[in-house]
Amino acid sequence: MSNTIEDNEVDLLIVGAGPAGMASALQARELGIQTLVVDEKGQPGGQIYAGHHGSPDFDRSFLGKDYAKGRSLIDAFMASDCRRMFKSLVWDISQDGHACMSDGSQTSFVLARHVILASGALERAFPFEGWTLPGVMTAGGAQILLKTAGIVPSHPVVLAGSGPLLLLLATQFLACGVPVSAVLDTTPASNWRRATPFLAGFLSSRLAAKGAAMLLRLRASGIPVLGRVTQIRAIGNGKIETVEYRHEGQIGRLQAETLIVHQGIEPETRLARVANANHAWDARTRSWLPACDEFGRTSIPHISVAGDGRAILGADAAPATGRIAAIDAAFALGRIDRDTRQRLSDPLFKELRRLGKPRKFIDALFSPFPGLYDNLNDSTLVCRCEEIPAARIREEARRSSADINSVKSRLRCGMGPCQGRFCETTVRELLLRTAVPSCQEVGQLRIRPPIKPVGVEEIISLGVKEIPPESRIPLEPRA
Amino acid sequence: MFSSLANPSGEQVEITLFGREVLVPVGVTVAAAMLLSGEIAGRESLSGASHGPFCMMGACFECAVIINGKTRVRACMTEVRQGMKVERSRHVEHY
Repeated sequence: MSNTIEDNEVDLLIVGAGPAGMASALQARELGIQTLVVDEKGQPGGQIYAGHHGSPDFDRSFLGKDYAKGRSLIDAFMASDCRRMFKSLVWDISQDGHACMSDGSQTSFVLARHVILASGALERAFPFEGWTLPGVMTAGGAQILLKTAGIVPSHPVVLAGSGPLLLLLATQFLACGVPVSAVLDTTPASNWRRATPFLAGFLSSRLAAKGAAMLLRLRASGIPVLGRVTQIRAIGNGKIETVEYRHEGQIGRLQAETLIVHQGIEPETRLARVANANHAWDARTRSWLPACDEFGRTSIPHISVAGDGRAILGADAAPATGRIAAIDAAFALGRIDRDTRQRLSDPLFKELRRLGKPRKFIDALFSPFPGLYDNLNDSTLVCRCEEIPAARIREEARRSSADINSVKSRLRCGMGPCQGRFCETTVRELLLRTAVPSCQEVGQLRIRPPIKPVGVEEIISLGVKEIPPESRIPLEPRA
Repeated sequence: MFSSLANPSGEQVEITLFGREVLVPVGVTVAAAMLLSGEIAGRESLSGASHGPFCMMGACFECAVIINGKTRVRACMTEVRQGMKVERSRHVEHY
């Protein structure tokens, strides 16, 4: 069993085999770069194209054309001669390109001359009273279940929240006969007002046509789609039984064994953060994004980002950002010159500009809105792992500090097994609203390796191969 | 309840899920097998509340269970295997 760095050197390490990672790998191989692609899942495709290689056989055609087109990318990727490692979690990356990856029982090392992080996106947390009850599930989760296993709720479901995925899932449920009681759209009027100036760029896009078609299909089906819904609550004893909501001044209730929730997606940037790459606040999507140049190169010269892990641009744009990052990696590795990099990238930049046009509208319409956090009652759990309610975070912001890392140290939100994936945004928004600091003062959770829990026996067995912690200590001066 | 769109005569495996034997389709995850078997929670939180599969993509750790004696295994990231033993987990067992 080889566990030495010397045996595991690669020119290019790509983390993530979703559309960005797969396209990156194809581009890199076209340029003759030795490439290793690592993904935590057992199959390629990321979340968006999950299930194309799935085992239970069922007719996936109702999932739509956008899903079907992932097939050709996956087939090309699997036919390419890059190295692939599935069921492997990259849990640390140092600034000098050393990566630690775990197969679930053993960790091995790889030294990469260039790294492309294509880690995709996460569901943005949608906290409300009762959101931790069994039976409440994310739209992304319900869709993965549907795409990979063909498993769907057989009882009436309620869908609540905001974002295109919620509508897409509702139409897919409709197409395969899942009874949907209602779609409770929480997108507030204020977001519509923010989005209106960008409407022209959206209307001319393919996404607008797709959105309109989905809405029409839902309307035609008779499924109630309620707009500007607020105060979602999940009520039940040990599992969800009732969904409560406010619509046009009235409280409504629906029986439901399953409540599907969604509040948009946000980039998964933990590997870029563990490597200590700079991030910048993006006011439009109210999120921290890895700071990078147009090619996706971060503040660390041999680490690049691509796909939704760079900024949410969707599955159509992900292959373009992946290819651009791979072309730039070839330049960084000295395989192509600057002019060649530009010539190869130009058509991809053009494609990105076209695909980016409707984005401003979508970002504004579905960005986190004040009501989501202002109306959060004090007893609602913000951190699911450590069960920290909103009151404790507000109290902390008033009493001592609005620095998210201080709050983490004192309250443990961000220290549980999910490592802040489902609380960081809510904690940040609560701090911003309670103590009114700047986004810079609140900051980002400092991410420590391993980025997901790894067994302690596995860490011990690493012996002396640990990466020195000095390489990760943030260098910014502390006030 | 949840049901499967897949061919009902497709290949199945038997697993022990929270003390009972269930038949589930080959190739699905333990989380999918749980939902299909009417088990929507497999973890007890710090306060004793039931938690179950939530994100299905390995990020939230809400579906953590004990599989073949190994603690904190994410049900959504683990494929079912013939004879697999799946037990409920409690928060304290995470540490």
